[in-house]
Amino acid sequence: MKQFLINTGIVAGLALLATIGLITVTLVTIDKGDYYAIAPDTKYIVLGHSHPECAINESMINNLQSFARSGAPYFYTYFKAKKLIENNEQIESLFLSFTYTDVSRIMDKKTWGNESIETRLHRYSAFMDWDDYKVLTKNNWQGVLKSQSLALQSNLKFLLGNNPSYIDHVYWGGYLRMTDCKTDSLLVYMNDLPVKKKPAELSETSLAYLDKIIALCKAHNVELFLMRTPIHEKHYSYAYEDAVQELLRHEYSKLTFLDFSKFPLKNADYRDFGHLNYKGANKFSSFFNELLQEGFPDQPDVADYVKSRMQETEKAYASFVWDREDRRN
Amino acid sequence: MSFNSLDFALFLPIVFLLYWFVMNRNLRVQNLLIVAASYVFYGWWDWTFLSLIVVSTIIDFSVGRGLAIQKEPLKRKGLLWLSIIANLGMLGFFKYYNFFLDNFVAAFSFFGNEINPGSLNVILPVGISFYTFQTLSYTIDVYKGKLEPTKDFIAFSAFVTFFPQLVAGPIERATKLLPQFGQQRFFIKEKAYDGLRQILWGLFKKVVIADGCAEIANLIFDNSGAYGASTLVVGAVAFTFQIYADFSGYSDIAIGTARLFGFDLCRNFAFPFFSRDIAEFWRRWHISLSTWFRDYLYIPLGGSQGGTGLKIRNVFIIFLVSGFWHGANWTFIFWGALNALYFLPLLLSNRNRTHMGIVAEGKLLPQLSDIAKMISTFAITVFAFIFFRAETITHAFEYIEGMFSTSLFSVPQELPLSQVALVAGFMMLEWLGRESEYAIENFGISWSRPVRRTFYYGIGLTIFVFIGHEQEYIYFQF
Repeated sequence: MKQFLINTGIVAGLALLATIGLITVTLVTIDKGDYYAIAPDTKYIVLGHSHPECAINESMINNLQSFARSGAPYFYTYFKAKKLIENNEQIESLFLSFTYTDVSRIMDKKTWGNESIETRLHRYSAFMDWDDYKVLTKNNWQGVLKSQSLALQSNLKFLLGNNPSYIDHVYWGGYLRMTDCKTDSLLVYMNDLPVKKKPAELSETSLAYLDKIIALCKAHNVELFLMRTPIHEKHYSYAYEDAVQELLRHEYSKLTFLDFSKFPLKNADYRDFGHLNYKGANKFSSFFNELLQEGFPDQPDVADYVKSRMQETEKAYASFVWDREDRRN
Repeated sequence: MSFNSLDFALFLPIVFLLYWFVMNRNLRVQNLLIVAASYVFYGWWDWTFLSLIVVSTIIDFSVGRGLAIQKEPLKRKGLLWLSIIANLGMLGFFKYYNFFLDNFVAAFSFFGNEINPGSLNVILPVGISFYTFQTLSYTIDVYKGKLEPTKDFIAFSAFVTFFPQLVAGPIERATKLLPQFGQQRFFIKEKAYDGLRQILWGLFKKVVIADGCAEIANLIFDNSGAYGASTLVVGAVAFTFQIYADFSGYSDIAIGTARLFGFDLCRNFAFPFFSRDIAEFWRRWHISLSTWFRDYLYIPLGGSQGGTGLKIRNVFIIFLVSGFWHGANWTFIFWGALNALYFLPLLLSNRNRTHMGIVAEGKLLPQLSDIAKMISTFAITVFAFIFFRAETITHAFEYIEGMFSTSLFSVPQELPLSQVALVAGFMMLEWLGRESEYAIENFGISWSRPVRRTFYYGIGLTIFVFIGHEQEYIYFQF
């Protein structure tokens, strides 16, 4: 029995060491490899969750690439930003989604919930250090363990395949074209303005990783803009606008916040209260491209410039404003 | 808890160490540990259904004690029927209540009478089809005098609940397993190593082969209308490999785990895909269930004695009941009937015992005639398994109709080459190991230790790489 336990222990121990070694080698190879190049003319990148993912149609915007992806919390967005910025010196500006959803505890589930870890961890595990793993392990060690096999499978597939881009292999994000419109049906039973049902709950983890993104941009001279893409006036996050403004005033006053939330759109331009369909995305993307062509990131007061351009646009789409007023009444 | 889960990976060593180091001095205490561990194992899924196992244990133990005392034939028969009704009653209610209700309503509707009896949404307790049959084997064998009824309630409870085979078999006979709980077990390291090897192989079959094939089969079956004939064939073949690797993999893990504790369970699969006819297939597939039906249903009905009419009746009863055992759906009954139709010509022409040995025994390659026989047997089992997998009879027929079109010779739309390579490699290992109890039992025995360990590590690493895409064991739904 003793010999059995010793032999089994040795074999299991060696197997574990060999597996850890293999995982480590694949992670290091992927981390240090030259797999993160994006188009050389890309000056602007967009990161965030499904709001910018649905709102920004890159094909309509020059020199911009979006890596926004549904449900992406700042935790994973940080690793994307890190690899993109470190490996692409041509990037001048990063437009980062900033909404109540981004900073609230809702995103904690997207960080370490079982489904999130299963779908996200293997895409970024190569770039995570011990502290990053501690954040996940503290909250869901089983999910972290289970994801190692997915990560190893994905990484081996990449290393043994002939895809030169890790970004493409794991798909870091991009424009998601939505064709439907549920706004009218939602308005039938959700026609009141959003009301706060419980106090605002901010996520320490999300805010910590937002700080990391800020520091990263600063270290690489990349201009960081916090951005809120268009959302319908009935979106729940408006109930927590005071929490968002408080954060902007006290924690992120040195950053420029581009608030496109009230960009003039019809109900038919939204897929639902938080997301644009392709009609709304085309309108907004066209406007955003105009702003970029006008060189708005270089304006002395970017936020004011954007605000004034939004007002001009609103006047131009006055009939759309009427549409919203009518619905409210 | 599932065999391929972290929970089980922690549970097994703890129970193993307690079993051999702490509780090994006293047999009753050791058996009690088995009972406790088994209740924890089962309760991990759903503790509410533990009561059913307890009830089944108490009833059958009591019936056994009653049969020991009662000598009058009529009363003995009464006790036996009490056990049969209680066990099959539980099984019938939990498994078939909704099926019978839905068909009852449908029959009334057919005649123009709409009734609304209200469904109970009965949940099927995991493993009920297996442990009820196992305990029935005890009462039936005691009644027939094949087994002395036990006085040891703990040993009997351990026999009923033995966690390696509790939820998906093999369905053990009381004559074989119960006495093992009455004898002291000694740790034999070769047996333990063999158990670990079989567990490794079972995990490989389940995680790498079954779950990988499941992804393909589910994709194709769930969208069968969108695929051409050749892809539908791929789907049917994928499901056949899935169900084999899933179920036989579970059995391997169960048998291997039992070996770690010094128990011998019966073999459940004997390389059925190398069968040369359907009779041989049924001697090699889910052996514990088919022999259970043979001994407790087929033979009492007269078996293959008597006239042609009787033989046909008995064969149909066995296969229909076997189909029905698998699930409360007409598709399973149809699957059983189809297998009966496959089997009958061989039985009626006395050719059902033609291939009793191992194909190409002692040789590396089979004869061409054997290859043709194996392929044709495989093809008809794949065809039958379409009914096993389809949601409804209509779905099955639509699937089959889709398979027979001109696109049968086109390139399949879904054919992951990596999975094809894995299945091919797997079948090669199965072929090379077909004369053993499981494929890698004696594989590499003559190799040096480092080479052999590297081979096992390769299997383990492959399991680890694939374990992220978990699918539930198919036979948990039975």
